[in-house]
Amino acid sequence: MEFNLPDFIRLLIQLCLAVAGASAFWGYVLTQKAKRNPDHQGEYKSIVEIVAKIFAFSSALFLLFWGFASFFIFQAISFAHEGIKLDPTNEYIRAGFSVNLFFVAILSIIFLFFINYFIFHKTKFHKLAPKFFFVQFLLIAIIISIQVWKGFFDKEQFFFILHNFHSIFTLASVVLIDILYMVTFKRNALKPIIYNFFPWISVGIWIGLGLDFASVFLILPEAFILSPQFFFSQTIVAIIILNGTLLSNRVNNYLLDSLKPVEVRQFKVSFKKIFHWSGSISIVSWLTIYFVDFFEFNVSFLVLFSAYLTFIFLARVVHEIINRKFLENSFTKEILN
Amino acid sequence: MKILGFRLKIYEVSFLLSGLAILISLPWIGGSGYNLWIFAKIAYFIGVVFFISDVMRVK
Repeated sequence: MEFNLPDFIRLLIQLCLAVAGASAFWGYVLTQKAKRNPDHQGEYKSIVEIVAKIFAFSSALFLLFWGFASFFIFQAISFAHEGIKLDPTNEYIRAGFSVNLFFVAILSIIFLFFINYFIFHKTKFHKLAPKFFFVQFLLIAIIISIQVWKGFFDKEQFFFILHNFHSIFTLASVVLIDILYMVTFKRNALKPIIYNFFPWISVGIWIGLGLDFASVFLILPEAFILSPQFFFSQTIVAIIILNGTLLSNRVNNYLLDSLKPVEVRQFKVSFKKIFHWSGSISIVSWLTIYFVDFFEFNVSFLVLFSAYLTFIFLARVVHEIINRKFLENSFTKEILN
Repeated sequence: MKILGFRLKIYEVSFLLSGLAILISLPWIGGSGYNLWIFAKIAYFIGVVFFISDVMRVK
């Protein structure tokens, strides 16, 4: 694998933008759910603030990386390079940066207002939060969809749109679930709301993967190349589906079960281990799919799969370290054990 | 639906079929496995529909 700075920066842009988009979308959904649950306003406000922080952090990083890439890597050079053959893909990416400049500028301005209200006017922020999240999600949806711009709409362009857009609901939503789950380590009062919200995020993840499948059908004859990378990606997709089957139902039920008194719980303690392995497989699989998407690898399937298994093991170790650090002397320890 | 002693929902069966079909189709993807691969995608979409209806029904 050759390290390629432009591709690496694009990967970071995609990651940050997708997480910002997912936080804006789920932040909006949470504000709507808060309206229907007036008895739990306090808890919902706390969760919305956590999501707002994730949004602010990822958006700030996105703007930083996007600005860097736009000015130093993918600046519009179509006029300067007239007559010089350029890789078409790079040309589309440059066009994407050029078209997105307008939307990123609007997003930056709204983002400044968002930060201002969030830090200095909390009460007003909660009133405006649904509007902020909704508008910002729309802008991010546009930006992420036209990161690669051909100049006109055809099958390939729709592929690029779906291929980029779905990451809001797949990878980024998985990241959001992980962060929200970790938040509950120290905030027991938020557990019932967050755990009951997870099935909805799972719906988003399944639909997101469906969008990716749909996008593939648009370019199937041209892009169906049987390389080690294809076999590796397909294997990871199969693992994501099989693991997701476990996560969507049994793990969600396990989390909800953990809220009940010990004597009426249905799940055995040993299921906790499966749950943690399943979580590690999920996050590593999604990150792997994205990583593989941005880089070319000239190695065999076996090498790729060994690296993948190593990262799952590492993620499990990190999960365990975080668990032990946060669960010590905590009420959560009693709940999860 | 009960399979091998496990009580599974329709969407779980669809997702399991989808995931397994992708894995099984890969060695023959250049030939007859391609149809199985397409079947995996269809099974996936059926699973998504049943999963959404399940979450909406529970909530």
